[in-house]
Amino acid sequence: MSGSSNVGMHIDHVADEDPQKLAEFEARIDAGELIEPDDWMPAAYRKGMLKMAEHHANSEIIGALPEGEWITRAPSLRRKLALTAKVQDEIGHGQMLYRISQDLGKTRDQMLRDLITGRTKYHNVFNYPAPTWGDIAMIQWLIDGAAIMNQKTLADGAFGPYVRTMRRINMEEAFHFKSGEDMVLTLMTGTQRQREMCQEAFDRWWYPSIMFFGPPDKPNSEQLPPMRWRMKTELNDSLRQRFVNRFAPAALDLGLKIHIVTKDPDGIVTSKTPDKNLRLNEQTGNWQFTAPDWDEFYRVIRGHGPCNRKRLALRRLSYEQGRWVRKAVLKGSTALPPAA
Amino acid sequence: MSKIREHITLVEGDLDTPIEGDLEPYVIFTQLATGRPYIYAGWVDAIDAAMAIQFGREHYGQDQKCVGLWAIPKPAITAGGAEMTARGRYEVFLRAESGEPHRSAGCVEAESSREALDTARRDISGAAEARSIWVALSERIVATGPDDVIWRLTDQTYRMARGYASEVRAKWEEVRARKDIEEYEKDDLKEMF
Repeated sequence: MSGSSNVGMHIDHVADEDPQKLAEFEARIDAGELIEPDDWMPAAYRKGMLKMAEHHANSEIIGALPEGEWITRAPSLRRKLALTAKVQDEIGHGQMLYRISQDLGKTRDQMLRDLITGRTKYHNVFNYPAPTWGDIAMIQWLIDGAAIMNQKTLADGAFGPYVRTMRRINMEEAFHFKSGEDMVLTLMTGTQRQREMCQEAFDRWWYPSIMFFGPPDKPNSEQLPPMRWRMKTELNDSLRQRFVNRFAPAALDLGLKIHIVTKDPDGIVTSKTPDKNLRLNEQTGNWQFTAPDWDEFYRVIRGHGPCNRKRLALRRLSYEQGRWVRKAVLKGSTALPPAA
Repeated sequence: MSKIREHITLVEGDLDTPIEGDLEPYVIFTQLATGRPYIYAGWVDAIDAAMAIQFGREHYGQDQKCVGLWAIPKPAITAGGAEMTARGRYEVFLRAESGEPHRSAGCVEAESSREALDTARRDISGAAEARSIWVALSERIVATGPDDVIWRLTDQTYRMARGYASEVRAKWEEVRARKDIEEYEKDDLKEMF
């Protein structure tokens, strides 16, 4: 569903590298060539790509949790089939991205364990709740829409296995987005009650989706390794602006209102006011908007979002309860399921 | 979230079960039409070839029309780094352009993987110019059968973007038309009624 927009890296990343090999590596990147796992690469590049692919994989399997919970309550057979297929896709993306990470030197079992013991993170956006079917529509429209924008730029990156995986993922994300758009349109052309549910879900997800692209860029972002080595290819703020330019007018056309909201600790909106800054700047062609509350962003990242503990608890339970299956696969019939 | 699953308590700290380790990696290739090359799709982890094929069908065979699937255990495929000394037939895969997936391009008989790579460069069309060559021992390739149905025969459009295109378009037209009507009625509504 979503790539990491932020690859933390220190400035002394190439201090120990052979200058000639590093120059050749950077020349290949500048020439638009793709780096393959067997090629020489700086240690910091391998480490950064592992961190990025692992974070992305974690996000895929955690992101599927709130959606999976809605399969049994989907409003029609076609929606149920589509949501089942979508959740299967997301878990599949996780499997492909873990596979890339495995090739970069970490076992999948270790990655799954690090995720559920809190040693590694997943995308912040999945720490928000999905209390109604409207949220499922909004996740597929806004969050998958944001993910496609981000992943299209990641598909222009330089690491071959990651680039090829992004292309394959984007093909499936196009289905998620289109069916999400269909769901939002259905709700907004439906009854008064459906439109209200859709508006409430939009109020919950608009700002998380604007924050989806990560915090504002540092002034020298283009010179730092993630962009210089084309691990990512576009600034967070420029992706964010493109997202607002695409989705703010679409939301208004649908009859949705764009609000600044306050939320309770469970992520439910307690008050809202129209975003008075929201308007098209005719000169720049960009839609202006009120910046998100970045304190909230950092608070949620540090583990204090509405659903951080719920998501990890369910993932950890699944890992622990799935142990007999993995044992049975590995050791044949000697492992039996636990007594109910 | 269902009420029960919503209230699971998060157990913190380390797991009390040992590290389990990973399964074996298999490379999966898919064939999109009979007689066409097998194209690199990705990897799966599996306990054996049968599971790799099953997993590969479900994972890589469902998002595009797919008529055949190959699963190759990682140790049986090489780009020259690791060498296989087995004598026999080797399948050759070529990456024509940087970043493109490898595609099957034919086979060669050789005493070792090194010889297979050399022979491929000489005998297989396009191999000399290819960005990368893989060879795999043919006897280690596990394939789906000619009668296997991978791509399901039922309507799959619910899991494709194009399955929604016309409905989405029609609904947008409805939304825009409604907006136009509202705009048109905006001024006269109050006075008329």
